[in-house]
Amino acid sequence: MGIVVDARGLSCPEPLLLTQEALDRYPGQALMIQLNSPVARDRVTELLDKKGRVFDISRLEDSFLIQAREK
Amino acid sequence: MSKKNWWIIGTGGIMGLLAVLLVHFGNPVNMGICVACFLRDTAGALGLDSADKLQYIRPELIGFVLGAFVLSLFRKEFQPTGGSSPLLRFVISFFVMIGALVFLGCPLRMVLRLAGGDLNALVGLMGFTAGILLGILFLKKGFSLGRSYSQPAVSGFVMPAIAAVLLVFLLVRPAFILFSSEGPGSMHAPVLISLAAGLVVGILAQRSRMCMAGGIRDLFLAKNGNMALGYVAIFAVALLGNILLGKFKLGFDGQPIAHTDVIWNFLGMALVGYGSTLLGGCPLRQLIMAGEGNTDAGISVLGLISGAAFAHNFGLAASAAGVPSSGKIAVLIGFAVLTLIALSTLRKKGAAN
Repeated sequence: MGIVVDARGLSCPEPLLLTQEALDRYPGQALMIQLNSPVARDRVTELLDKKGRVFDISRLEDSFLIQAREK
Repeated sequence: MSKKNWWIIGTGGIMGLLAVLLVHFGNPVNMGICVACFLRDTAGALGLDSADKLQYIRPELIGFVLGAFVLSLFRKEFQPTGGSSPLLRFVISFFVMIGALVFLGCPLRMVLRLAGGDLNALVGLMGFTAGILLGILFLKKGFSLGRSYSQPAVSGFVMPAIAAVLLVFLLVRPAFILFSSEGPGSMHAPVLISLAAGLVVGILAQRSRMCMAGGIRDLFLAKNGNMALGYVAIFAVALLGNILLGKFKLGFDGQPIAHTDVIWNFLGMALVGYGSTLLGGCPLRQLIMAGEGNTDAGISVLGLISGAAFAHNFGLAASAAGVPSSGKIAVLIGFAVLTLIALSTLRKKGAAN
């Protein structure tokens, strides 16, 4: 499993802040980030890139699921 | 340079160019594109206030919403959502408009004023930045207006439909719609040029997610300067255009539709930056998101329009003569109300689990 970050429906920049918070609190752990705005998706993946995580994005019915782990 | 950066820079550059051209074709000086001014004039045209020099349905606004609407449909990013504290967003937006009308312009016009040599806008920019920092402080403490949820599809079409109805009013000019015969409201580029410029900006801003508050916010919060490049591009192109057209005039005094009151230029824009950060986007971004089906942003737009109507009904708005005392009081009340909202909506830390 891993750490779940539920950022669905939150305004910018909250999804980014929650992801940042999870990265800080649970270093090295896999993250599952749920969100639904394309803007948040782009911003969060930008951050994950910067932090050197690998991730894949799956499109669910009305949200995105980003699964991220260390390289 | 990533592809994303080029979208932002391109959007900014084209916005700067269009702003200069719109002034050339008839919009008031340094007001080629100003979301606050356009919403205010539109409120006036609908008779929501009685400022007879500020009445015109601005086609650019219609273009922003419809451009974003069409492109979001095309890109499958149209999402009818809502329910993230709509009434609080209304109130915050209301005061964002009060702040903008005390400064005399939205963040976009602030940059355009700067590009016209108006140094009062530099004071505004400092205030805007200070307001954003205040908003960031609360964001870091866990400020949140809560989640939005999917809404019935029809709700996402309301704001685009309102934009379409306004376009009909503008073209048909029924007797109940007011059009200024003098003052800023009477100054405008031809309808089709304004509409086309608005559509281009709406499309580009949807694609690039351009946000005037987000640029500075990300610079401080995420050490990410991508979005801020958009400002630089608007500024650079508008500056060049103003110089070429002989419209550049450096100084504090005698600037078009501006006053020189340092404190209230600063505080007015600070309120705009503060509120925009709490809302998650500047006035332009609210219009774009409203076009994308975000009904919370739609409510924000209505809040901005109400703020404009109240500002002119109650004499809160500034003019070239300065800021009335009632406007100063309204700005201070705005800070108090926004802070009260921010303090009472802090979520618990560690919501990630």
